[in-house]
Amino acid sequence: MDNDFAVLTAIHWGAVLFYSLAAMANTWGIIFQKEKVERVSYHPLVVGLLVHGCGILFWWHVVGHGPYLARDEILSAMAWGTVVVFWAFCKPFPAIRPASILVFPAAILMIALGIFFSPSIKLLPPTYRGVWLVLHVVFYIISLATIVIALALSLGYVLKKRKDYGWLVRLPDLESIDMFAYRFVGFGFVFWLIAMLAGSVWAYDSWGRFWGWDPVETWSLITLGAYGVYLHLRRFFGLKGEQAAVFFILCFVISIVSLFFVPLLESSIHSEYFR
Amino acid sequence: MRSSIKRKLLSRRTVLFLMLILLASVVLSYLVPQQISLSKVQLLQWQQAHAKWMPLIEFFGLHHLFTSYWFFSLLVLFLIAMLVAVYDQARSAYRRTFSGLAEQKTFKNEVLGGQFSCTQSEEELSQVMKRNGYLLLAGNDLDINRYVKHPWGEWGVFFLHLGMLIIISAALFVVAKGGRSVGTLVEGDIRLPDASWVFEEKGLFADSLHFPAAMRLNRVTPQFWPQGSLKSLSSGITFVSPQGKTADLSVSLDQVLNYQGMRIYQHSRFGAVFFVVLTDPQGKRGQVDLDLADPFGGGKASYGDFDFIGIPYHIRARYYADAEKKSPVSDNPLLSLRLMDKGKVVGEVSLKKGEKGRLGPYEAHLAGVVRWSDYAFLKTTGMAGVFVGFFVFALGSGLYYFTPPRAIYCRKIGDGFVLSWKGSRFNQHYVNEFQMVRAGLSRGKSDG
Repeated sequence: MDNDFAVLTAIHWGAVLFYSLAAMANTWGIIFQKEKVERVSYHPLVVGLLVHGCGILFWWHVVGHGPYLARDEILSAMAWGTVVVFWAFCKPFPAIRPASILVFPAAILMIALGIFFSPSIKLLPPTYRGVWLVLHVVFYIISLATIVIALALSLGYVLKKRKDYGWLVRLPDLESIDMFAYRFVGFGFVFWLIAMLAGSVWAYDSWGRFWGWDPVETWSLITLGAYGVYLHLRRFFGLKGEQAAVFFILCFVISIVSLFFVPLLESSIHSEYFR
Repeated sequence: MRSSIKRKLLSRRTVLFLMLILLASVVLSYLVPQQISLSKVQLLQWQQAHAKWMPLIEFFGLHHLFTSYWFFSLLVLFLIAMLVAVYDQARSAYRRTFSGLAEQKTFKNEVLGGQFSCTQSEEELSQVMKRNGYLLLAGNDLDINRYVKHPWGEWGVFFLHLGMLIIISAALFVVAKGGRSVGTLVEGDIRLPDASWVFEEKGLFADSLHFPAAMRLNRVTPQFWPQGSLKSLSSGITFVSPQGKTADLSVSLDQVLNYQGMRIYQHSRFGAVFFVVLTDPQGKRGQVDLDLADPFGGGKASYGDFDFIGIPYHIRARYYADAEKKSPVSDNPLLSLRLMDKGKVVGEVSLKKGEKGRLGPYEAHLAGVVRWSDYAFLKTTGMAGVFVGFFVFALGSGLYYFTPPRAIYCRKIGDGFVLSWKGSRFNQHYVNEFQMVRAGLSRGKSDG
C-alpha cells in the first residue's frame, strides 16, 4: 500500500513537472510575443496530460472507484479535466488560447494542493454508485473548467482595459474578450445546472429524495442563481465590459466556496466528498 | 388589462427582481437553520442563542422557509412569469425562424462584415451558400432572399426555459403529491399493513402512506470494509399481499426495491435488539428489549440508555458487534449492562448470547439477539417529468450556446446581388463566415 502512495505521488510530481514546463513556455511565448514558443508549449502539456491521466487511472485501480471521494483525487481529476476541456475548446475558439496563462497554473495549483493534502484511500460508501453519480461529477468538472476559462477572460479584460503592457496585444480585442467571457459563463451555467440535475436524480435513487436543502446542495443552488442573475443582466440590462467582468469574478468566488469550502466546513449528506 | 399584466410579468425588472428575491431566500435558508435539517434540541439551542431575532424569524416563518406561504406565493409568481415568458419566446422563435418580409428592414442595418455585391446567378449563389451551411429560408416580393445557418438555434432560449419550467413544475408536483415514511423492521417480526410509521412526511395533496402488504424481515446482512466503514447493507424481506401471495425480495443500500407502486429504500440505520430477561429476588421475571445501533467496527461500541416501567433503575447498555472485538460482523455480540440508581452504579454485567449473570438485584439472561433496520417507503408520481425537463433543458442549452443562428441577406439588384450578414449573438466569432462565402463566390467566378 505504501508503494501505491509513493507511485501515485511520483506520477503527480511528474505531471506537475510537465505542466510547469508547459506553463513557463506558454507564459514566455505570450508575454514576449513568441508565437512559436507558445505553440510548442502544448507539447509538454500533452505529455503531462498523459502522465496525469495514467496517475488517475492507476489510483482508480488501487481504490476501486473513480476520483470523486478523497480530497486529493478530486483536485487531481479537476485539474486534469480543466486542462482537457480548455484544450478541447481551443479548437473551435482559438481566440481563447491566451487564457492558458491562467488555466495552466490553475491546474498546477490544484494538483499541488492535492499532493499537499496527501493521497488517502477512501472506500466507496454503498450509495456512491451508479451512472448518475458519474454524470454529476463529470459535469461539475466541465463546468469548473469553463468558469476558469471565463475567469481568465474576465481578468484579461480588466487588465487590458486598465494597463498598457505590450503583451496584452496577444489578447483578442476588448469586445471579443467580453463576448467570449459571456459565452463561457453561459457554458458554465448550463453544465452546472446539468450537474445539479444529475445529482438530484442520483440522490433520488440513493436516498429517496431529490433535494434536501443540505449545505452543499444549497450553495450549489446559490451559485447557479448568481450565474443566472449575471446572464440576465447581460442579456436584458446591457451589463458588459468591466462591470460584467467584476461581477463574474464575484460569481467565481461563490463557485469556489461552493465546490471546495462548504463540504469542509459543514456537515452534509455529501459528507464523504472532499473530507 | 391582459396585455398590461403580460407586460409586467415579462418586464426585465420583474424577472430580475424575482430571481434576486428567490436567491436571497436561498441564502437566508442557509443562514437561518431549517427545521428539516436539525433535530428539535439543536433547533432550540440555536433559537436560544439568537433570541433577539426570533420574533422576526417566527413572523416570516424563516425556520421553514420553503413551506412558508410567502415563499410559495413567490414561487407561483415566478412560475407564472416563466410560463408567460416561455409562450412569448415560442412565438418569437417561430417568427424569427419563418418570417421573411419582416427582415427586410434589417437588411439596411447590417451588423458586421459590410456588404458586397456579386454577379453570380441565383443557382450558383445557392450552391455556395449551401456549401457553407446556409439554407434558404425565406424570400419575399422585394427580391430579398434570406439564407440562415442553424435556424433551429432560434429555439434555444425557448427550450432552455421550457426545460426549467418543466423541471420546477414536476418537482413541485412530486413534492405536493408524494409521501415518504420510515418504518423499522425487526428480524422475524411481521409488520402489518396498517402499522404506524416511525416518521412520515407527505405533500400538501398527498394521502397518508398505506403500505398494502404485510412484511417479514428475514435477515439483515451488513458488510464492512477492512477499515470498518460500511461496504454494503442488504435485507431479505418476505411480502404477503392482501390476496395471500408471498414474495421473497431483497433490498440494499445501492438497490431500490419497487413493490406495488412503492419504492422501498434500505436505510443505513441498523442495529440489534437484545432480549434480556430480568429475574428479581422474588423470582418475578420480565423481559426488556434493548434496541441499539450498530457500532460500525469490531473494536468500537455503541451505547444506549433505557428506562422501563416496573424497573426502578436506569439501564445503560454497551454493545460490541463481536465479543472478541475483532470483526464488525459476528453472530456472537457482547452486551454490557450497567444498572444505575440516581447516578450511582448498582450493578454491572457483560453477557454473550445465552449467558446469565448478576446485574444488581437481578439475574440477567441474554435470551436472544436479532437485527433491526429502518426502511424508507416512498410513493411518488411525476419523476418522469423531471427527466423530460432535464432533456428539454439540455436540448435548449445546446441550441442556444452551440448553434447560434446567423443569416445572409441577398438582395437582387440588376443582374446581381448585394449580400450582407447578420448574427443573432456572439457575432465576432462568426463574422468570418461571411468572408468565406465571399471568397467562395470569388473563386466560383474566377473558375467560371
